[in-house]
Amino acid sequence: MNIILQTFLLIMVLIYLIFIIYLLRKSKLELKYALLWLLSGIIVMAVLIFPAFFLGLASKIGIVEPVNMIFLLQGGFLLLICISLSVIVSGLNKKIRILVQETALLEKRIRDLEEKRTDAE
Amino acid sequence: MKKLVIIPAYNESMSIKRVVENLREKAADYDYIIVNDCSTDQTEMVLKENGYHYISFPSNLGIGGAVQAGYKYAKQHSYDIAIQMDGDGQHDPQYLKDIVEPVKHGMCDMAIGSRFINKTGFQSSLIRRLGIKFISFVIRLCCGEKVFDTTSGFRACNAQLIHYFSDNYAQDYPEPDAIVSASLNGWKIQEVPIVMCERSEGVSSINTWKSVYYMIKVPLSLILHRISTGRKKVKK
Repeated sequence: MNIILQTFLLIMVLIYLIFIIYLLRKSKLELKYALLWLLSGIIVMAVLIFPAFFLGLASKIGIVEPVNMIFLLQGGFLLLICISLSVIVSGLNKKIRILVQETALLEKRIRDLEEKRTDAE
Repeated sequence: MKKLVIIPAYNESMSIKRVVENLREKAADYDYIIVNDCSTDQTEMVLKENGYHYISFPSNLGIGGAVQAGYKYAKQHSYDIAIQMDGDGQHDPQYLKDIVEPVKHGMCDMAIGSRFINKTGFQSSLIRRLGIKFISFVIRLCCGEKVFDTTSGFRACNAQLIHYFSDNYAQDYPEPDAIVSASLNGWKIQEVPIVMCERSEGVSSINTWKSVYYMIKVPLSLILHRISTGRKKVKK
């Protein structure tokens, strides 16, 4: 693999990892969700440091250009992360629906209590 | 000195009554609040029927969310000391004073009841003990604290930590994480020897496969926490 490309991509991945850690420090990203992003960065970095080894594996499935191996990995990770995000969003949606319903029911209870109190006065 | 015992409960309908009665009997001067984490069994009914003090979640948040709600309650009602105690009967109220005294007298900010200092009472399975030892090592790496019983949910905190934990409490692996958090923010942690009982009813929320998963993710999470937080000055 072209050494210039390798170095450039390696620097990009390092910046990316530092950015994720920065988001974690500022509590803008929760650790649980950061794990997949960090894992993807680390694996891409491993492939960039040992391209020959991974290309050996990749050529078995028909990949010729080393760069395409990186693209495939990144694409795969993005897909995985997007699917997991959809799952997380679905869970959040459900929780919000429950909150809305419970809050509405609580409001009714409070309203009934207030009415009972004004009736008693 | 206002003291609150926070009892997180998820599907503990079999043991919660005994836990509360035991607490009322051995530690009548302690207030308590049960946090019912949207139990799917008869837990809520048991709580209602017996008139116990509790808050009930409309949706399940997990142990982190439940305990954090307990700390929020403690903050709201201006408690001086908050103690976490399990809802399954593993923690004996007779040891409450052992973890409360060091905090009350300012010897530390957080006191953890540990099974492994004197190695008495229920010691847990071998796999869990090895895992706990490993987490101990990782915690020492992250913040320098030498803690033997890292997953012990029997701990007491002062008002400062109550305020901190109400806003910042780890959701996934709260017990070891809270140690690292508190330590990195400059608070003092102490371990106190106590005796724990074996879980008598119900199922632990951590089974064998989950234990393995836990032992991989927790150290990773703690190390990342350390990298992303750094050590802050003493926040007194």
